[in-house]
Amino acid sequence: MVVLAAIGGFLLYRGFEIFKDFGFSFITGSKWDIGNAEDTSTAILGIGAMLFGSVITAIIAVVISVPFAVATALLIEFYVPKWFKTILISVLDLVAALPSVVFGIWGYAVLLPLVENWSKTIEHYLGWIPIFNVPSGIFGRSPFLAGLLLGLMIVPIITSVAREVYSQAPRDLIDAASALGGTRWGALRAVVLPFGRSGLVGGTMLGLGRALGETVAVYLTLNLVFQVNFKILASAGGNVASLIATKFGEATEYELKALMAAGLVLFLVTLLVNFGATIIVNKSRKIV
Amino acid sequence: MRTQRISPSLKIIAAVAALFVALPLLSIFVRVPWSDLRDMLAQKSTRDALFISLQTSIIAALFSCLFGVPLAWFLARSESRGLSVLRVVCITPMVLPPVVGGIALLTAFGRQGIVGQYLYDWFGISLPFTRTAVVMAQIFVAMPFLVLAVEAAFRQSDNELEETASTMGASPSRVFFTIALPAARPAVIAGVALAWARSLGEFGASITFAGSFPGRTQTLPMAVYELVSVDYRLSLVLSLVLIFISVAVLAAMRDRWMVGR
Amino acid sequence: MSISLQGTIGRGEFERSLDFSVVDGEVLAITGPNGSGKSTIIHTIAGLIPLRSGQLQSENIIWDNPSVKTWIAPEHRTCAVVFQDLRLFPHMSVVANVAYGLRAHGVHKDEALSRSSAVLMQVGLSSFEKRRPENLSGGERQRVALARALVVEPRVLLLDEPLSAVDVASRAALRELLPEILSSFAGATILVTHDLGDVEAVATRSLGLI
Repeated sequence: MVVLAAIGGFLLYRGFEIFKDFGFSFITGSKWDIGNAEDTSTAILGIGAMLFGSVITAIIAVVISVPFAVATALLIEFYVPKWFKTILISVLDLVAALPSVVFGIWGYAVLLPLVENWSKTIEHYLGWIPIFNVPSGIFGRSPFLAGLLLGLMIVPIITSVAREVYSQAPRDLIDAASALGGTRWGALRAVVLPFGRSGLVGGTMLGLGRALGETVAVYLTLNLVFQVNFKILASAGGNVASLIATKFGEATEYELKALMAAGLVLFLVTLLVNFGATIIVNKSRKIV
Repeated sequence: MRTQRISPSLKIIAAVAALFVALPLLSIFVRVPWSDLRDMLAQKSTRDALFISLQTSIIAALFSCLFGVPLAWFLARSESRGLSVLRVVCITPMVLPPVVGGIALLTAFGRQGIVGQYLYDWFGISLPFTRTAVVMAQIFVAMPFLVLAVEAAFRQSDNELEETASTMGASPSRVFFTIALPAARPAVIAGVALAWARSLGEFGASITFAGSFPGRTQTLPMAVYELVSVDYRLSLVLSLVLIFISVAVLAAMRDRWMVGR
Repeated sequence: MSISLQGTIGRGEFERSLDFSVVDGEVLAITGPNGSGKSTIIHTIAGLIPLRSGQLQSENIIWDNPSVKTWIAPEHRTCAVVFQDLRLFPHMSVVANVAYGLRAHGVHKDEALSRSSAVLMQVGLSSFEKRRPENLSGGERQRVALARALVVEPRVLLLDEPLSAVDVASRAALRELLPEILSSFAGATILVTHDLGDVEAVATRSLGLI
């Protein structure tokens, strides 16, 4: 806690000037222009677009990964024989341990052309729904692609938390439900899924935290454009973490402060998500 | 063990999930320019990045082990107050976005940082943007994984054997080295493997704290990141190297610790 | 007098007052039903559980006295324990188990090994030195635990249900071995058991807990 507060304190101290200069518009504004390097008053800095990008990609990631993670966890815990279980778990470990830059490259090299085609199809048929509309006609490195990739990356985290909760589900209730004549799947749906719901929410939020903080994979699969882009198939967006990583190297002193302030905002958001996750996971443990 | 009937819908989802995982590996293999592979790997920039990555990640894993194992022991066995606080602190880097971790390191050890300014004023040491900084960033990100894994093992291991050793005249440090550590060895090996894999793939914290200077602080992930827009095929090759190393690390360690049980 | 305890022992909710002392060469058998605190006595003397009140003393050294805030760590008490569940180190060979205490007391490796071999011979296990505890029978393990306690030449030997983990056949053999070993042991022995047969076989005096 003290270190958390200390980190927050330092970042706040460093970023203070920025918050003083821009106030709330630092968070809501979507323009990033350092203006004249000599005269800091010409700068207009806002991370609104990036923050929006962080959130929208993370949400897409969670929507995609949760069903996968639940299915995988159920398979591992209740269906597959032991040898296959070991294999599945090692594969998940491997995916969890792969460097995110590898995912980024894969997203860029393999997923990008695929998703471009899918996106065109979706836009063709569902373009009348605002979020699927792409007026610019440029698909490519869109929030949808980045979100899909992040979703893949966080599957192992959510799966491992889900496995942990599911394995604590009362076996006798499952057996009883099966014995009453239902299918195994029916028993799982009636007993295990409700039992593990709050634990799953906690795991999901852990994944959400990871997705919010991801840097290089998002940099590689999302076109950095300072614009609040809710048309998830269109090629524009960015997230706070990749903003910091890309701009940090050649930033002016003033911009550096702004990036630290951005770091603070990201820090607070992830902290919030993680606290939520911890509380929910602990609650689900206590019930057991 | 009785065989389960698997519902078709779950089978399909499982197949898709497996494909999802297998695809990245396979597709990079397909796209890699095999004919030029040798020349590319022989390039100086490639070799530099590979060397820096291996050097920093191995040092980071060793240091994580050296400091992380005693820390895990302390967390598992000490009864002092404020222990839960310490645990939260130690695990924080796991949930922190790596980029923020890099900024935090900079505020602590940067030239104007809390500790860094004294290091510079008194000893003339400037840490940021050096290879040491790369190692520090990697330790910061990777050590918590090791600490968690090893702490769990210490908690599970048999406290009674440690008590027994102490009644036989063994000092606490002797108990640690002769009884507790051998019992936790599989977890320590696993933790080091995990920390190594993390260090190898670390990007966000090192690029903010150490920068990406070819031949000096540029690790493989940074090289991939810089090369995507310049030399796309080379970046693919480097990713392949990364995949290869992390798979090898995990596979080697996994066999070890499975047999150990 | 080699060891004396006057005071209250306790673990969790359980508490009980005791007053006894044992001199060198004596074997005190403490008997009582399960839950009467027999193991707690052993653990308290060994230093694994603190005394609630009163004083535990060996020769004229105070081992434990909460009122004067004296407490000697287990590794500095000149006693050795044979635990009820033996607690052999599974990752060490038989001879390494026995030599462990000597090594911990700073005895040189070669000497520790030769002294351990000698004690193992005394308990009839000289051909088992290189084996792991998991490859021994219950009776053999019991002898290793006994050798491990004797080798450090303690002033006080603490035996917690020494024959409970053993099958009937080995128990008969051990009942012959144990008095033989204890008669050559110079220090004080405290034996805790619920089996009156053990008391008859080895004890010079007995104390019943209710």
